[in-house]
Amino acid sequence: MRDVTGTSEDFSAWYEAAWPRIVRAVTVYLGRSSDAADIAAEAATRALSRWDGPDRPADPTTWAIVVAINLAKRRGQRDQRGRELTPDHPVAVELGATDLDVWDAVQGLAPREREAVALRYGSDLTEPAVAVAMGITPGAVAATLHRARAKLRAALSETHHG
Amino acid sequence: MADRTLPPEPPSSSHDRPDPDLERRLATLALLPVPPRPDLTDRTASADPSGAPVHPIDLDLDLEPIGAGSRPAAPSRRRLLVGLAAAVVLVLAGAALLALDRRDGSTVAGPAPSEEVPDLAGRTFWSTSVTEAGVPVTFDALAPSGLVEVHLAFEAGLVRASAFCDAITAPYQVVGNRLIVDEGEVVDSSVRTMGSCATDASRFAWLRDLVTAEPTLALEGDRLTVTAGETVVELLDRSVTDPDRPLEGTMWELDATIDGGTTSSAFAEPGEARPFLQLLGQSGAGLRFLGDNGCQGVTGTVEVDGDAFRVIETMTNMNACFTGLDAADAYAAVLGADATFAIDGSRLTITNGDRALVFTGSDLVMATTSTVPGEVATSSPTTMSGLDRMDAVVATAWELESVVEGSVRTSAEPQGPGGRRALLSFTVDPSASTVVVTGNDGCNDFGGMAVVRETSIGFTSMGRNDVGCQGGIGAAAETMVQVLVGETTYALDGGLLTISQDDRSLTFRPAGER
Repeated sequence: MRDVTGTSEDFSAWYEAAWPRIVRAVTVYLGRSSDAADIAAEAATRALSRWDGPDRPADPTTWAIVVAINLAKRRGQRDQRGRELTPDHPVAVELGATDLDVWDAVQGLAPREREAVALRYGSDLTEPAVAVAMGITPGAVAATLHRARAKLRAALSETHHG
Repeated sequence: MADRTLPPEPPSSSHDRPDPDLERRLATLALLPVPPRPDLTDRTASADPSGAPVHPIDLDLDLEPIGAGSRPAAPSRRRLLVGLAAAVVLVLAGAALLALDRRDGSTVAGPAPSEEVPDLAGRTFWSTSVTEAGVPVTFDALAPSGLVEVHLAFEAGLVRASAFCDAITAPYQVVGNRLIVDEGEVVDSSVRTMGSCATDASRFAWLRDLVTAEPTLALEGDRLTVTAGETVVELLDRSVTDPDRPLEGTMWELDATIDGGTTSSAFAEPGEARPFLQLLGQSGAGLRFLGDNGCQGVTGTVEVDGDAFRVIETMTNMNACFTGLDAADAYAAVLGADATFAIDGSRLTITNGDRALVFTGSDLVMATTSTVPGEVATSSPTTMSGLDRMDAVVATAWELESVVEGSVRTSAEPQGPGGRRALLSFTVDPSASTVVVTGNDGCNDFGGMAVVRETSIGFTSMGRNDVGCQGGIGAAAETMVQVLVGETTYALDGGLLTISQDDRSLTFRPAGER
């Protein structure tokens, strides 16, 4: 079917399906909702610019999520610097049906663990896809996630008893 | 401290049996609300044209830093329309504000307000605009849009006001045109189940203040305006904003599965069918349904009686499933036996014990195409327009007449004792330009999705249940199933539909004509 925007049909379908996964990866990684849509749109735009050319990514969803996480890392660094000036800077996020305690616990993880969790659970990527996205071996992903889960379990049991 | 909980052996995915409770809670990260996606067509110019390395891991190197120039560009048409609508409501709200202020003044100054507010009992309203002094009310970036949405429900002498998960409930009275709620009787009824919903103290306080400020009410048909000082909330009756979708004929797409108290969202890979369910119409003792569990096609019949959803039979095709098992499991568990269903606005929940499937129905506006099988096109002229032709193909139930393979024509006759004619029919999926395909090869049900164009039909996700058929299904029906895969071309001539792929073609006539 024709598309009012003139973009190709399969891109539109991809964009619709990939959008929530990109946004959620960034939101979980950054720990805030602001910027996530902006970053995801930028990543999707880059996918679009390659869509009909020879550089079209083989797995556009994983590709766009990686681009978005990389963009988020840069923005995260920038904000980190800003946050040092205002230590109590409130971080706003709309959690909807997401488990609040899990959200808080995930935000306490090391960046690399948080990245793995964001990709695995926020974007619902498979572990092999997370490995491709993070540029590490599947074994390293399993180890990272294992460590992350152990920390999360500990943090969540503290929440329970504390 | 956390390290102490690590087991001694090196972790690997095969040994690391994740704790199911943690897995379920982590899965809620995939339920994070997502803002609407922007139109990208205006952004392409800002994308870096340099050509990043194909391997994504290297991309970090050549990403340009994000500056002010890379903010989302012009909103999509849809968002623009929403924006316009909001602006119109804003203007209306502004006018209402002025009008109500004047009315307020007269109330204080002299005669009682002449306008009595009609009975609100049993009604629910959803806000279309929430403003303070004409400016939309926001609570930082808490909501995806930053805007607050208020729901007001009046029931049995109680008013429940909610904004996202914050909610209050209190006894109310309407005196003249004012809503009277005693602050001492306000109960916090915010949703806090399993910490799955974000509440916000300032939003809660704002909501309580709104309701207890003795706001004025103005009801005009389905439109309710609540005004407290400079705060104006415009609401619409929920039956207008979110009417219950009909069970039959709505395209129900899987949103989430519930197992015990845990909700998992449903995903579809790009290019893969999102799990769905559709009730197609009466078939023998029940309603025939068709769906996709994320991996396999699912068909069956169900008896619907009140809120009972009694599955009479259900079948899946033989696809081996590697992904989407959660949804497939949930389909099997929920549709495996007697269940109940409830429709709330665009939401369909089918519940069986402590497991449930939660679907979202596609907009009613889209579901206007008539799909009564066999109603159209028995004598379609060959000159009909492309659109008419597409409608005729979709609106007719087709019966296989013959198959041509190379230069050999085989007529399709029922096979074996009790054999039936092979059938093919389409049902519009209102959410897209696709249609749902269902059929029977004379013995086995088959189904999938199709995109019907002016001269071609693309079939995807086709599957068939193989029940083992006495006497076989016949060569013609077998060929039919093989042809209805991937891209095909078609023609309508003299009321007959011919679908071709390579040197094979299938000729159908409208069912029941013979």
